[in-house]
Amino acid sequence: MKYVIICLVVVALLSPVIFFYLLYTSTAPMFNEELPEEAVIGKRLWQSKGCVECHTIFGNGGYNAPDLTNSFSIRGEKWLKQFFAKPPMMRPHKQRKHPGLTPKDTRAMLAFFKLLDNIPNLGWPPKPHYTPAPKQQDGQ
Amino acid sequence: MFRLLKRLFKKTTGQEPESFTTRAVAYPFCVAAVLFFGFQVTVVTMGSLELIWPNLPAPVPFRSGRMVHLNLSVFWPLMATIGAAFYFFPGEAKNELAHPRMARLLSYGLPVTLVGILLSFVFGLTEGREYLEAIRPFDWAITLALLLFSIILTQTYLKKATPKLRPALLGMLLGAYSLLGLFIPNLFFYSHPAVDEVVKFWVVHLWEEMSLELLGTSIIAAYVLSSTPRNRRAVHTILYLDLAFVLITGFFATGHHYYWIGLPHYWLWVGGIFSTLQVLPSVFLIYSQYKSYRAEKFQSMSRAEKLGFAFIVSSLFYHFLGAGVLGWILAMPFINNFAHGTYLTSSHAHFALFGVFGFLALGFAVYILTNEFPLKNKDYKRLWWSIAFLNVGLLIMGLALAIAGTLETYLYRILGNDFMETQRILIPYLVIRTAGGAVFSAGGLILAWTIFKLAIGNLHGIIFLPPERRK
Repeated sequence: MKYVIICLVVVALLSPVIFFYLLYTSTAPMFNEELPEEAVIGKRLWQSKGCVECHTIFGNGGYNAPDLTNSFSIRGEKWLKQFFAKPPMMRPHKQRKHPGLTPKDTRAMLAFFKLLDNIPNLGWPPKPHYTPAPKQQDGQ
Repeated sequence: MFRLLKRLFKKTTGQEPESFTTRAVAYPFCVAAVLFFGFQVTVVTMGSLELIWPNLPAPVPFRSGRMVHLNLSVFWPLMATIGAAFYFFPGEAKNELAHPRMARLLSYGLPVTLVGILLSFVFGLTEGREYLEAIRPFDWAITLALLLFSIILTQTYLKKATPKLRPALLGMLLGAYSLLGLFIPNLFFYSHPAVDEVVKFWVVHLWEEMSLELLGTSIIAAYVLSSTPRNRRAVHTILYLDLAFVLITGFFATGHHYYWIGLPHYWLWVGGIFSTLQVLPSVFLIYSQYKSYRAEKFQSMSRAEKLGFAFIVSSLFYHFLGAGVLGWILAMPFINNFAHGTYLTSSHAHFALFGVFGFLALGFAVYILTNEFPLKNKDYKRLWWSIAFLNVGLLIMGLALAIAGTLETYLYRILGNDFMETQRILIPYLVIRTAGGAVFSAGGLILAWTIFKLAIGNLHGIIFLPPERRK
C-alpha cells in the first residue's frame, strides 16, 4: 500500500509538468503567429465593452445572445458593418437597442471577428441537421 | 480500511481538542462570506427576472448584473475557504498561526477589495473576460491577498514543532500555492483569443476543481482529525490517495474546456478520459464519508457539528449529481459538441459551483461561527430551514435549467432553429428557474440574517483578536 501511495503521489506531482508541457506544445504555433494589429485592437474593444456577458465565443460566455465565433462568415462583412452603424432593437426588448460602434471601432471589431472565424476549432459550432434557409432579418 | 475509519469517527468524549487563539482570524472571513452570499441571492433573483420580462426597468444593465453574480460566486467561497484554512491549520500544525496581525488585516482587506470590484462593475468598468472581469488594480490586490495567505501558511508550516509530513497541511499549502500560481498568468493581456481562453481556464476550472478541492478536502480531514485524534494513519492514507487523485484529474480534466477553442484534436481524448476519471474521487469520497458517518450516532454531535454535517452532506450530494454525473455527461466530446454553450452548461455550473463549493464554504463558515458563538434554540431551527430551502431551491433551479438546456440543444443546435425563437420557447422553464431561485434566496436570506445577528451580538469577539496567550 505504501508503495502504491508513493507512486501515485509522484505521478500526481508530475501531472502539472506534463499538462503544462502539452499546453506549451499546442499553443506554441499561436505565439509565433503574426496577428493583424487591427484584430488585437478589436479584441481589446471586445473586452472593454464586456460583450462576453451576453454573447459567447467558442461557446464560452453569456447564453442570452447568439454565439459569435463564426459570425464573420455567417453574416458577412456588409451586414455586420450595417449592424454596428445602425444597431437595431434587441429582440425581444421593445426599447433597448444594441450598442453601436464608430466606423473606426467597427473596422477593428470586424478584424477581430475575422481572426476568430479563421481559427481552426474542429468545426465547432456543429452544422445543424436540418438547416432552414438562414434568416437574414435584422435584430440579432 | 473502512472498518478502521468507522472506529475512527466514533466520538471520543472528554477529550477537548487543543484550541489556538490565533484561529480567531477566521471569523471576519466567515461573516463576510455569508453576508456576500445573502447579497448575491438577492441581486441574482432580481436579475433572472430580466430574462423573463426583458422590458422590466432595471437599476443596472444586465451585463453589470451578470458580472456581479459571477464574481461573487467565485470570491465568497474563496473567502470562507481561506478563513477555514486559517481556522483549522493551527490545530493540525500544533502551532499558532504565524503573523496573526497580517492575517487579520487580510480578513478586512479581502471583503473591502470585493466591494470595490462590485462597485467598479456597477460603473461599467470591466476586463471583459468571463469570471475575471475585475480591472487590473483589483487583480493585483487579489494577487497580494493570495500571496499573504501562502506566506502565512508557509511560515506556520516552517515553525519548529510543526509535523512536516501531515497530508492535511501539505494539501492546504499546495492549494494555497496553486491559487496564487494559477492566478498570476491572468494578470496579463493575451492578443490571441485561443491563448486567452487557455489561460482563463486556469482560474475558471483549475481553481474550483483543483485548488479549492485540495483545500476543502484537507480542511475536512483536519477537522475530523482534530475531533478524533485516534488512528491518524488510516486517515492519512486515504487523504494522500484523494489528494493525488484530485491533482491528476484536476489538471488533465481541464481538457474538457479546450475542445473547441483551437487546440489540437488530442485534447478531446485528454478531456474525455480524465473527465470520466474525475467521477472516481467523488464516488470514493462519498463512500468513505458514508461509511464513516454511519457509525457515529447523529444525536451525539453538537449542534454546530450537526449543521456543518448537513451542509457537507448537501455538498456531497451535488458533488455526485451535478459535478459528477451531469458534468461527466456534458464533458463527453460527442455530447459537448452540441450541448456546449447552452443552458445545460448553466445548469451544470449552478450545481457544481454552488452545489459543491458553495455548500462546503457555507458549511465551514456556519460551523466555525456557531461553534465559537453559540446561538439561541430558535436560531438553530432557522438555520435548518435555510438549509432545506437552499437544497430545494437549487434542485428546482438546476433541473429547470437542465430541461431548458436540453430543449435548446435540440431546437437550436440540432434542428438549427432561429436563436431568438428558441429563447422564446425556453421562457416557461426560465420562469420555473426564477421560482426555484426565489425559494433558494429565501434560504440564503434567512442564513445571512441569522449570521448577521450573530455577528452584531458578538461584534467585539469577531473584530478584535483575543489577547495572545502567555507561554
